[in-house]
Amino acid sequence: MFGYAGKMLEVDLSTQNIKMRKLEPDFAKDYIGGIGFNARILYDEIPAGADPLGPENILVFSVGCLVGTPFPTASRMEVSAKSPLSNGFGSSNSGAFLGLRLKGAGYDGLIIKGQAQKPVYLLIEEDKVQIKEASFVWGRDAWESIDLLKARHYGAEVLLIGQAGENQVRFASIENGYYDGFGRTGMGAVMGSKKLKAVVIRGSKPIVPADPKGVLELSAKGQNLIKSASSYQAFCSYGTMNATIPYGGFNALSVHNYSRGTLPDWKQRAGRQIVDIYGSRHIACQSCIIACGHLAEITEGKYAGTLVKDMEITPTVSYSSNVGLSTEASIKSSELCQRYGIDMSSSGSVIAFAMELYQKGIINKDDVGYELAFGDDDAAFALLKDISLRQGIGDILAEGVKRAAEHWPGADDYAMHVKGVEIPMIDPRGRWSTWTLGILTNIRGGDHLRCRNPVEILRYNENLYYYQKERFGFKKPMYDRLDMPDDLKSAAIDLENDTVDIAVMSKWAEDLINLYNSVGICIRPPVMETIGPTILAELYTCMTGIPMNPDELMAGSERTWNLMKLFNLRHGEVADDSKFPRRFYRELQSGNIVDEDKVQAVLEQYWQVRGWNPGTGHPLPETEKRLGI
Amino acid sequence: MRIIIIGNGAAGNQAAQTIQNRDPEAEITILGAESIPFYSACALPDYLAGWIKRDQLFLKSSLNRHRVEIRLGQAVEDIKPDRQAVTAGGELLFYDRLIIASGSRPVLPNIPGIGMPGNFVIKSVHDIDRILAHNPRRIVVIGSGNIGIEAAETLEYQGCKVSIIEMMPRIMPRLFDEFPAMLIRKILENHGIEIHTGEKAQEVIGNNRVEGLITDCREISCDAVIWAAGVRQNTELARAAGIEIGSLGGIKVDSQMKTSHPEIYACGDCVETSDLLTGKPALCLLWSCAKAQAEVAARNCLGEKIAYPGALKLVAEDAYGKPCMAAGLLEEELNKKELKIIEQETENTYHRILIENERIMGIQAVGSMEAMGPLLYLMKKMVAPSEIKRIINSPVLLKNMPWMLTIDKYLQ
Amino acid sequence: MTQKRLYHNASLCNGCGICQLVCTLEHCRQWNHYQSRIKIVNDTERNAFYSVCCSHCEEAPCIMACLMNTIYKEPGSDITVRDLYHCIGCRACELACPFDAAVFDVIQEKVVNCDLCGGRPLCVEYCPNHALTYDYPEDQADKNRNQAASQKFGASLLEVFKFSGKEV
Repeated sequence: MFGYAGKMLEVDLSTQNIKMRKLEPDFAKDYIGGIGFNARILYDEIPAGADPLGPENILVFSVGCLVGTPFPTASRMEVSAKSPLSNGFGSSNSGAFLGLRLKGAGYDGLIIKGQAQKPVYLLIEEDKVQIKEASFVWGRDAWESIDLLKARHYGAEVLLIGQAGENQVRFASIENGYYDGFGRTGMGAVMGSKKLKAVVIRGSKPIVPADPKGVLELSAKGQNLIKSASSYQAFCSYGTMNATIPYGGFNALSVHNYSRGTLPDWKQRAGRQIVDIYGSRHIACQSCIIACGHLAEITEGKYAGTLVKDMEITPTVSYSSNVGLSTEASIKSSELCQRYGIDMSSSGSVIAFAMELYQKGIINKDDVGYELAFGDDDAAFALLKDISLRQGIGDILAEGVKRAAEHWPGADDYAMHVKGVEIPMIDPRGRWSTWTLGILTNIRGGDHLRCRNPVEILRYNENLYYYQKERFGFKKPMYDRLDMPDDLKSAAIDLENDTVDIAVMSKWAEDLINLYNSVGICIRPPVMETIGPTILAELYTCMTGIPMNPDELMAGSERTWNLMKLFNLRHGEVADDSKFPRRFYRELQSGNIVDEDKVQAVLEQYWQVRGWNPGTGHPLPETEKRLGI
Repeated sequence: MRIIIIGNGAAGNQAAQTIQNRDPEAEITILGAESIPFYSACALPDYLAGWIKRDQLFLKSSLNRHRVEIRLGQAVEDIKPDRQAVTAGGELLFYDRLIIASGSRPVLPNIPGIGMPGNFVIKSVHDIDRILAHNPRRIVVIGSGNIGIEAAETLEYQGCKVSIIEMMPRIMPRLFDEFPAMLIRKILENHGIEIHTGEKAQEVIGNNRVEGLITDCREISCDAVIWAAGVRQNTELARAAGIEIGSLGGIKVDSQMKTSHPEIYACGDCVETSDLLTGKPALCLLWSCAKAQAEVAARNCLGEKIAYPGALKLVAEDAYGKPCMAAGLLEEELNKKELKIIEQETENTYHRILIENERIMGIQAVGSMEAMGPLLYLMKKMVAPSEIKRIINSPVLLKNMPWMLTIDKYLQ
Repeated sequence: MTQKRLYHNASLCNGCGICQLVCTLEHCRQWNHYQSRIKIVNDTERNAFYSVCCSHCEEAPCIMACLMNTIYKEPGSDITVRDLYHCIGCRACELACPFDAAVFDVIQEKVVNCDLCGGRPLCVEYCPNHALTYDYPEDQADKNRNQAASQKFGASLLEVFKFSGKEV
């Protein structure tokens, strides 16, 4: 089979049984790769009501099908399992060099079932797969463990969990090498519950495209397209940090657990100029031409000697605004999170949640053991350690804000989550857009990374349109260039009034991002702006030799999205779960609240566009039939 | 200038090539005793295993046939240094400069049964053709140098049952120290090769053809015996012509590869040069040494003054997919007092570095050859380990060059 | 005759590895980690990515080391090329290369080196940051040779050459 490695590895840790699962061409065509494979496997194989931290849960890693091409940003892989936070479809995406290495070892994916008795790690050396004893790394932090594992297995790539994952902290992450990770939805806890410390991958099998020349040509074309994007230059220099100041200006930050919209010194604290101050060099993921990641280095002061890949908006907002730490402390927090193997977004939200409870007197010094206050880095890091190691109050907070709030009466009002997953950034009271609706509609819960208008303009959105529309803000050439079917384009974008229909655009944006996660490319704005299904379909055909057109590709992505929704419904999601935390509806922030009814109206419109029941959000039978689920 | 080269091997051809590149007007005559064109002896085991085809053995030569005359199947009868001539095929050929690259030949011990069909050596293409025609199934290989090991491995690959008899207490005694030799031995034994060390072949038995071999410990029934226990320099011609022969049995040359006669140079397997690391006289029977010596000899013939730095033993071996390499000297060849041995073993690699007087004198590795080139270069240039560490000082390189861990260990 | 050569500017490189992918796609029609003629090494200590690639040495040690005489200088230029038909994959040239730039191609079981794609190196065309350039040695020497070379991983060995008094 061209383009794909052609098989998936299935490991049952309970029985120590190792199997190869052949990749069928029809399956590959229908579900494309990455998150598509994950959705199908989880939907088929996890029984309803399974305990996310029990042996019935299945952890699936899948590599995007375009990984192994020089197409810009083709490096991503997706991990999915039933999430211990949301009890629904949990999924997280990461880049760097791991995907290529797993594919190079001869596997499109890795399916982990069961639960080991003792700590183990998995060693994959092409066809030789071993389950090995891992007591020498169990209990150590992620960076130490990587060093130890790499010393044993020369030249290998490692994915692993830190102490947080071992202790089944519900928002633990899976770390991908030193600096990258599968952060959200608690995949690390699932891996920890399976007592699987690490997966060590080594191999040198070829990845053979059907038409290498075509792949090379399309990659060059992709490079030129992305380089022509309006945001390309800015992203090359500052990465996602470009957006910190605008979001501060919109009052859309998650300051102090969403009690405020911005900070007075936000610009000094987290403006993109900190990249120039602390950033030492750019680091690219495999095949990336943007290289938005920066190594951040602190040379003096309390945190001197910290060297970490940081300078991304999400961790910065999470620790700088949500917990309120100084710039240097927020860089240090990245290192700590990566060492403990904990999600930077969720851990920031949980710490902010605890700090607010402390402020409101719901918990006190006797509960915590030390004083908690926003902006206190020592307290924040002590709490982070307690959570990761499940000590003291950390044991309760390690359950995530939704479950922790049940411990203290009245705490529920301060638990900022959707479907159990903490919302890391973007306050809908500050700015309403496709992106903010995406937090509600996201399958994996309160997260902003699965829906974003491909041509979003970073300008204040007046919200003059009763939540229905947002501003387009670009001229005709951008409209013409956007790779979208014409009828959909005219339905989504009203060029005359300069507006975008949020419900219609949400569906397209979600399907597009889902497609990116399936083929394994990145959702950075320069890519979203320029790369659409047309070029991806051509590239897919060149890579795999399977004929594919853009519509089929988008249908495949939509099929995956529906499958994930069905997974959630089977595991107990109800329409009421698609609600913002109460705070957004009740508490004024810079003079705004979110209008619950109007948001519900947009949400129902969105369900209708999706072909779902507008009352309940269930996919309609005809939609399922159309997509062939 | 008329130049005669005796020998159509690596050294002879390299010399001719160098002369031609530097002086296109020189008239070169190559006299080869074998009647087959220039081929690589190093690939013979690969040919034996069937990994390469017969025609791949023969190397293409870019010699200009108008200026270079190659006479094959013409053994030189004698050298007349006083007349500056050699006789070959009854003809007297005159030279301005003579390069002797007569090579070496395998030694067969004088034991009963050695003349029977079924006794083989591995030296030329014909030897391999004969082994293939004989089609043996049960083979004893005498000697475990690199030729012996490669032959054993390739024959085992072809489905034969193979035993190795080694006189010394470990295999590859000239190349590896005890521990790495044991690692390689384990790899070979795991693939079904039987190894007996510390034994000596006494007699080949059989009725008109080989049926077995008797050593001082046992009797092994077999249908072929391959003798790979050492070679001897072809120095008879030189000796007869009054050219000085060294204490180790090779033609004695100075650093310019000149023999005791000013117009006669020698290079390749037949000479005795000095060791790069110790400066002591040494025989070096390696292809790469022969080429380097030939280049030096040829350039000096043409009037340049180039010195040969000395021979460095350097062998790369593949034991069932595990790359092994050895360079420089062995533990037993070095001064015990000054010697420091550092070893580094991981799950699938082993590195051993011998250091004497702050100089790297020997390197042995099993399982990984990654990034060995730089280290060998540093060894050749006699750079001290602390200096290496200073130059390549980076934890990342530690991870990229496995041997750096070893050096690191030494310096701590 | 001097030929254009491949140069890598460590300060511009982001380590995306596109050069390695296009290299194997061009030469082997597939991707394999161990087939790329150019290697990018991440040196966190000195804060840069370095490239390891055949530098087409004047007196190439690999030519002397080859047991099958398959390595030679291309007539009329100083590019080191190989005739893979005769290569038996003994890896002697790999050992001889002081830059660790000879690549053992695990699929063909032969050793290969950078052939500059016959004068139009694809890695240079695809390099997003122009960290790789294809230039005449003398032009490059003026530009940034010292800056790049002093940092370069392969060229950390340059010091060795200086140390031993040999010109590169």
